[in-house]
Amino acid sequence: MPDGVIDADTIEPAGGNKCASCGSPHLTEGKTPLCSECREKFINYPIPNSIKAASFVILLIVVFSLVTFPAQLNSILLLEKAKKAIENKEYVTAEKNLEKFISKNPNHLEANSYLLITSYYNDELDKMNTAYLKIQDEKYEDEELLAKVENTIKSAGICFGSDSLHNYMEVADTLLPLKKRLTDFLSTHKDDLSAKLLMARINLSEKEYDEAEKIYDELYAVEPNSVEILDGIVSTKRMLHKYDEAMKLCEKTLSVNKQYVSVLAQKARILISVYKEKESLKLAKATVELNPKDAYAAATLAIAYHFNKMPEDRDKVLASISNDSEESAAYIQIAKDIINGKEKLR
Amino acid sequence: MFFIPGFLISLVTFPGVIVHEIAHQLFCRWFKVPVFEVCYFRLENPCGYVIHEIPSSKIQSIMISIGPFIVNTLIGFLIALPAVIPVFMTNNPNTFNYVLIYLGVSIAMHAFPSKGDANAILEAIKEDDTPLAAKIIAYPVVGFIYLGSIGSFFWLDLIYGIAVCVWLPKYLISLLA
Repeated sequence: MPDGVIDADTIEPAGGNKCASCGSPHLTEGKTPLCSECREKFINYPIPNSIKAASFVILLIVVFSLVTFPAQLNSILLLEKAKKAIENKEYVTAEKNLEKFISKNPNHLEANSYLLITSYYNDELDKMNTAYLKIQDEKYEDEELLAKVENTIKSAGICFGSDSLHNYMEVADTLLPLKKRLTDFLSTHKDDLSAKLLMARINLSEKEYDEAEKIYDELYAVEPNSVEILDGIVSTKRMLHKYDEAMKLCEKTLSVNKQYVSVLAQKARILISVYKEKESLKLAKATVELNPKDAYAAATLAIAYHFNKMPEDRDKVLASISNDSEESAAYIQIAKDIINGKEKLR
Repeated sequence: MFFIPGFLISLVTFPGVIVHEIAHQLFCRWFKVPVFEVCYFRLENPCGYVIHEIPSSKIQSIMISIGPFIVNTLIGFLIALPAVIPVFMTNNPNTFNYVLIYLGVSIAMHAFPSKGDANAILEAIKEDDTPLAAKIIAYPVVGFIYLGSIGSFFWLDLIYGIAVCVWLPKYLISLLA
């Protein structure tokens, strides 16, 4: 710590009534006898050029800091907002912020770890895989974050399929239908959750709702917080017109991820089924706002417009859904079938 | 307590010493107080000083003494601010970011007024004509300066520098998020 101010009484007055510096008799007010010229000179005591240059450099650095700070701040705020959103279980918001942050900091361990977590909760397994590839060989200092990542990977294992399932599928006769191969596999691997989940999905897509429900109930008993299982079980209960159960499971899913788009859209469809059309429309709109690219959410909005007798809005939404994938095309078709009365929603 | 000779600390953190003395000098200039000698940096004790006239106003005395506290704190904080994010929060720092942190901490840790500064205030307020309000402000200031001076033995100045340049920005950023 520098010693700063030393009092000025080391300067001896040249004479009682004379300037201590030049000896002039014309003194100005002040504790040291100085004439106005000398006082002014001492007030403006010269700063050496080297110090001026150093000060200029420091000033430049301050300006640089002030100029670069907003960009840095915006970047870190994205990560902080994502973390807060994760705390609030708002995984879509978290993921949006994380993706913006990662576009500027592509190898950021913490952000990629959180992206892995949010992708899982948003049922975006490709994104989850990409994040995993970035972090798989990294060393963690944050043990808590590492534990969260490991738990998420463990939970997601059910969606990716077990090793034994993969091994079996590699050697199984590919000419046999998938369902048959799965049945064979399950006969010897009764506790393989990933195989069961796959079978439940096949049952659901083939409209074998009772079989699907049975498997989903079993899976739910083992993994009550798996969003994949919850999503499937909500669909199954809804298709079986078990709306109260489906609604409870929607709430359960939304307690895990408040912004789970697929389940929010399903909830909107359940609301139509129980004749709460206005409520359904409100929820369907909010869901599309969360993820405007989600074809299922958009198709749900079109259906909600239809049941709220708003055909122009319905057609506009239907036309806006991109049918660039088989899945999207299927969602559009189902929505059209419901609108045309071919398929019953209630 | 880990002991490092003062001159070595001053040598490593010399930008802070220079800013400290410039701050004294600038406050003298703003208050139109004549300055008779300035040493911006040296490897002796004190490592820098400003000899100036005792101002007629007690508030001016206080302000000249605590000027570096304001200036060093502000400049140290501003310099380190953008570097805190890549170094401590996003883990993608470059060499320049580390330079900014070093510079910011060096400057901020020399924010504390010295015992000399405290003595200057004390001398000024001891005079009979010192208004009560000035004494009420000045005595706690002097007390804090002495405490800071004692605390520097326990690295309080370095802790303060880190607090201003690392903890404070991190805290403010977390508030904004």
